[in-house]
Amino acid sequence: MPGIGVPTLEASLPPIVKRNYGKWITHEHVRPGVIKHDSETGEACYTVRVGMPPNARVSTGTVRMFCDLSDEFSEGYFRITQRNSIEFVGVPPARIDELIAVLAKAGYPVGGTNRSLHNTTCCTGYLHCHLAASDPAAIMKSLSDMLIEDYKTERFPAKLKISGSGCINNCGEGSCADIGIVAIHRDLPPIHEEKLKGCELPLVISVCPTGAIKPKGPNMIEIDPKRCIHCPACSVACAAMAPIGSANGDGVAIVVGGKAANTGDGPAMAKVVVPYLPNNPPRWPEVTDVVKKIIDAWVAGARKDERVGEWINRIGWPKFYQRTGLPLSFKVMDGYDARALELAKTGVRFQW
Amino acid sequence: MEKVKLCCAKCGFTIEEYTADELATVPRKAKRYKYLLNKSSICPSCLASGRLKESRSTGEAVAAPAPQVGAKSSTTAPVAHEEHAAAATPMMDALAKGPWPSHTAELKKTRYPVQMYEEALQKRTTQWGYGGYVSLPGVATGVLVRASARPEITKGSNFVRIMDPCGNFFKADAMRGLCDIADKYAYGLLHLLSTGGDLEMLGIPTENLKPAVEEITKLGFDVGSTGDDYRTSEECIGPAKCDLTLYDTLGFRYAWYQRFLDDVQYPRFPHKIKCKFAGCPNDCVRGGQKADIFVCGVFRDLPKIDQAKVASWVKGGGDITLICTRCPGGSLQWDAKKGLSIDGDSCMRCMYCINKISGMRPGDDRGVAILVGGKMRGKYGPMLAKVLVPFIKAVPPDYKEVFDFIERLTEVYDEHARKKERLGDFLLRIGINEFFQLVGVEPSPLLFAQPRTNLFYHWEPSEIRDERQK
Amino acid sequence: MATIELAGKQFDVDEDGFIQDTAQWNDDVARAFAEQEGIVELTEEHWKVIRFLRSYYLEFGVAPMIRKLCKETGFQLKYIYQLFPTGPAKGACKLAGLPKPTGCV
Repeated sequence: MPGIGVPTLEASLPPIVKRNYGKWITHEHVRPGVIKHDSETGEACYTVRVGMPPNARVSTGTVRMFCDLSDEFSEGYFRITQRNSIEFVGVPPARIDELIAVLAKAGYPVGGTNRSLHNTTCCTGYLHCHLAASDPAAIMKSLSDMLIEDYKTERFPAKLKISGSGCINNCGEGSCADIGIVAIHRDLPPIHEEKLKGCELPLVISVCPTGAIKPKGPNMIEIDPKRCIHCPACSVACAAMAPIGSANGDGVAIVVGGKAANTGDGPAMAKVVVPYLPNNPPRWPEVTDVVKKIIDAWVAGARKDERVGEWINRIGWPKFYQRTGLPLSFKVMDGYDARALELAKTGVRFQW
Repeated sequence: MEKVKLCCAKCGFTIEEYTADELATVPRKAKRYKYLLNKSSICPSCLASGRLKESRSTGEAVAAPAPQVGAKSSTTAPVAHEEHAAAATPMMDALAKGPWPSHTAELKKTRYPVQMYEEALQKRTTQWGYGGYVSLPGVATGVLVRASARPEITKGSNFVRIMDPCGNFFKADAMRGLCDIADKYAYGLLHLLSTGGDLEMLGIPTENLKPAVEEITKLGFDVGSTGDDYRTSEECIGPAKCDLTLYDTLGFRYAWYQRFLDDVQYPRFPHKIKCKFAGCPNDCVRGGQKADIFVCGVFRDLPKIDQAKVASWVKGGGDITLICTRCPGGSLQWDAKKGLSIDGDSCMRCMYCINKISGMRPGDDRGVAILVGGKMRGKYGPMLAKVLVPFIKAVPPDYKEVFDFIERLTEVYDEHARKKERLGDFLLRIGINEFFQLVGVEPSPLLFAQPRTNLFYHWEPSEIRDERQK
Repeated sequence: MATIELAGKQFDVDEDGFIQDTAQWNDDVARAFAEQEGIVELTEEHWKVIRFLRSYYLEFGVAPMIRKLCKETGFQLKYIYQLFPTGPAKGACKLAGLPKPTGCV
């Protein structure tokens, strides 16, 4: 039964890591997907990074295949990275080609290190979520198919991370990524009156960021449609106000320039550049098209080590829209934001 | 060993389970057993009311067989799962094509109800219904339920969140054990890992939840990370496989679970608290963006330069001009004769030169910074974490000073925040001044980006006094 | 919507068995739910939690936060889990006839 906490380091770390724990002195990117770490003990550790299906949702059969491969190639351990790649740690250098060949045969690409496309991450979307306004897993599959060569090579100016979230709750962390796909709702939440009794109405009213929900007599509420920003906090807090969404109402916004590292221009949240694109399953051509335009312009214009956001910071938003050819609307600078007017331009330092 | 079970007469859900020994020797259990047997009960699983059915059997037959740890590719027969007729899935088939590994191909290898996904894609709306958390007796957190909006396809789906081991290294044998449990009790589908860092086992029928959790804990894994508590904390790879880390993130996380496990498994906060531990300012866990509490390794002295190594790196083709230009503080200067120098006033300790140049290492005066309030949505949208403590020493093994501070911080949050208010939203509502005073941190210029431009400010009458120099 | 019979009366309940109309609640409902939750006997300590939840809910329209509950009743959180095996939210609130605590994000 619960109450035992996480496994000890002793139980969960592979032998090569235990031998060199805290003793690493340098690392190098040997080739795409392969990183070498050198330890002060003189030992070298080779890591092979493997791309995963979107949403990292894998059958037990596939997991067992990874288990068998790790028995064969990496002392019976494998690792899952922050971006849901599988890593085989401590592969003997002579056997790296063999491992990559076996993985390729099984349909799994090796790459995603250094100046390449890193493994895409996303939330569950239509797969398992009642709030989903889109299916980021399918979008990520389409994008990964399109960009697979960029995963396996290092032709980018800097690393590129793409993430997708199925709604504004942003469990898929679209706003963290260089290019993020964040699904949005555009419909008003429903009010199923017969279920309202089962809701904590004061909470429903207080979670609304714009105060659009107001009490209307006992056990009844109303929504001010003008103020609703479709966030959908009320749908989360109250079953009577779910599900939100419709086929034509839902879609995705594209955000760019998110970054966690303190290097370069420092950490930043991604900014909305396209406020809405329709859902078009199974391949979302409108979305892949926009992403391709952004990547092409970035690859053509960025200096070395310039992430997407830093490239935009240097060239400015007018050049960004010019180079990418994306349609512009005031919806990208207006909207719900405590500092909305700060998004308008002050001064006349134009980068014509 | 004879086992006695009391089950729902309609759906067979086990309400209580005893051994014959217990009934003979523990009066409390015997009393409860008699009580339950003689009463009309309502089944929490199917809501049928009536007398419970008793079943007796010997231990071997009742006890769930232990997963065959280590046995390669063992599969166990699935337990009572809804069977799905093979219907056409054109959308999913389209997504199975292409060079990248496909999630739909994976789904089709499992007992996931594929029509739920296929029809969602066709209708462009999700087919799942309202969801939330459940607590089982003894399992306060870790179980999620998801209702179905299409009961004719599937009645709903529960899943379990398993807390990942430090460093996210999985032993193949242990992972096979999890696969066995997923095959036996669930869809046979794993989520490696969720963006919150948990391993999710999907599609466990309600009656299988308890045995599944029991077997997971037998393997040495624990469940949690649902509800308003500390969610599963994420840490970067740290000393396990990185040469840049400034503190032992894995040891820190392990110590975290030693100290705060109750707050991880028993929800008590106003809203969830996500904690991320990054070993250095490169922040590979994205803690500065999405963590309510973000502990980041920092150093105060300047990066160390091994001039000989740097020179040989430059000689070998290292682009030193690029690094000097891209240095955010403009602090680096390269001179072929004198070597590399750093301007101490403008250096931001951002790690860029250390990442790129062989021969540079972080300084020795190391500790951690604590940032709070990062979130992806909350009430007012995405927000970067704000610095609360610029430097504090992280002293193993129990990291007392850091943890004490975090406890003080969460006490303030717990006491003053409103229900369902994330730490960042709370900070935004009450303001920096009050928040910092409540937590008890001294003002420091390291805590703000810049002073305010707006001169409006509310002064308390008690602050008004004669402040002239004597 | 499901219906259950508790203490001789019909109640509408949601899919998790929480009663929909909290005004219909009485002590017998709590006792009937207790049985369902596997609580043998409602002690004074159980009632202390239930009464506090009810009065707070009737006054403010929401369930109290856990900290408030622990403070007012004087019980440690873990002890409340011992009293109500499925916890203060899904267990105690159900017995007290409060709406189901909110969703997952």
